[in-house]
Amino acid sequence: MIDLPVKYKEYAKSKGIDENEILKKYENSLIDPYLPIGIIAAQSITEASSQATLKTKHVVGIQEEVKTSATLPRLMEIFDARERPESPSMTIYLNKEKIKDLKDVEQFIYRKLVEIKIKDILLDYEVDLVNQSIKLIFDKNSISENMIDFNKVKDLLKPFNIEKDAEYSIVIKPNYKEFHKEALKIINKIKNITISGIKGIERAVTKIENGEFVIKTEGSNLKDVLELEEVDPSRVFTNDIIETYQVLGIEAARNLIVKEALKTLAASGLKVDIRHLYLVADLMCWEGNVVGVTRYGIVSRSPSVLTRMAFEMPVKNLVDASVFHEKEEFKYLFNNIITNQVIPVGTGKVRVVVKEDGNNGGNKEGS
Amino acid sequence: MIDVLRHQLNPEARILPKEEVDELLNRLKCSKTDLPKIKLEDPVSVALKAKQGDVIEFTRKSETAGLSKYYRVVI
Repeated sequence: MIDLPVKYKEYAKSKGIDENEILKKYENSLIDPYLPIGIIAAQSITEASSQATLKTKHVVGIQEEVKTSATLPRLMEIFDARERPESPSMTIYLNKEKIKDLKDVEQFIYRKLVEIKIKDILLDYEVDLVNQSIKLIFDKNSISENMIDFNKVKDLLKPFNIEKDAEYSIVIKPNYKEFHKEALKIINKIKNITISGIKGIERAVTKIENGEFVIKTEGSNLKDVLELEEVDPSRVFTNDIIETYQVLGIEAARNLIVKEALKTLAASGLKVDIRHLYLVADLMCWEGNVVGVTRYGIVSRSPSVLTRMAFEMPVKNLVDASVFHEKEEFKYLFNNIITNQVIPVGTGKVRVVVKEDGNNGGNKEGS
Repeated sequence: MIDVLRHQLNPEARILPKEEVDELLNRLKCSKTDLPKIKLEDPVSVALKAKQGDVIEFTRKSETAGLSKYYRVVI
C-alpha cells in the first residue's frame, strides 16, 4: 500500500478533490516493476554531461567573483567523491542579531574569518649570519588595512626569541646549532604562522541576497566556521562533500551531492531530472560513508565478476576472481549481455508459470 | 559544540522505538541488515546518542514526493 505524499494531500485539500482519485494517478505514475532505473539514470546524466564538454562558457565581467571549476571536471569530482575539490568554497549566512550593517560584516571578515598569515604583512627580511639573527620588516600599510594589532604579532614571535623590536621591524635570534642551514626553514615557518582568521579561508566576498548578507569564500573549513558566533549555524555550506560528511554526517553529504550536482549541471544550462540524482546520491551513501562511482567504490562492491570486468581493468578482475574462486550467478545486466542471454529487466524478468494440476490459470512470478 | 541536527542539510531524525522497527521490517519484508547504514561515529548518531543496531528514521524533504521517510541502521 502506498501512502500519498503530504504535498499531494495538501493539494487535494486546497482544491477539494477526492484524495483517492489523486492516489490512483500517483500510483500509475510510479515506475513499472523491473524497470532498470539505474541504467536510465546513468544514461540521463551522461547524455546531458556529454554536452558540457562541448560548451565552453565565457563569462564577461566580475559577476562570479569567487572562482568555480568547469562543469565536467566538477561533476567528476562530485561523483568520484574526491577528498578535496579543486576550488573549495563556502557560502555563509550570518546571525542577524550579531551583525546588523555592512561595517559589522567587514569587521567580521577581516578580524575573524579570512586567514591572515605573517607572509601577508611581511615586507622583507634580512639574515645576519654573523650575529645569527633575522630581521623582519613589516608592511605598515597592509597592517592597517587588515586591522591587525601589532602586539599580537609580537606575541606570536615570542617562541623565536625576540632580541630587539622597533616600530614595524623585529629582530629575532633563534637558538639553533647550525643557524646557516636552518635560517631559510625558520623563515618559512614564520611566514606560515596564522595571525588571525580561520585556517584555510583565503578570500571572502560579500553579497546581498533577499535583503541579508551572504559571504562567499575561497577555501573551506566547515568545522571552525560553524563554531563562530557571528554565523547562522544552520546555514553554513561548503562545496566539499567529504568535509560535510565528516562534520555533519551522511544524510547531509547525500543532500549536498544532489545539490552540488544539480547546481553544476544548471550552471551550463543542462536539465537532469532530480530523481536520477537522488538515486545516485542514495547509492553513494548506502554504506554509511561516501563511496564514489569508481572501480574502487560502488563498482568494486558488485558481487558479479563480469560486471566489474566490464567496467575497468578486465584482466586483473578475471585473474583475481579465478584465484579466489568466485562464482558468477548471472543476476545482473552486463554479465547477461556479455554471455548473450536475456537481460533480467522489464519483460525479460517476468516468466509465466503454468501449474501442473490442470488449472488453466497461469500466474506471473518473478524468477 | 555544534548542533548538527539543526543544520539545513540534515533532515529531521529520530531513533525508532522497538515496536515501530518490527512493524517497519514487516512492512518492507526485509531484515535489519538490508537497510541502508549509518556509522556509529557519524555526527548525527552521536547527537541522537544512538546505539549499535538502532534504526534511525529520517524525514527527508524531497522535491518530487514532498516528505519522504528514509531509514538507516546504526553499525
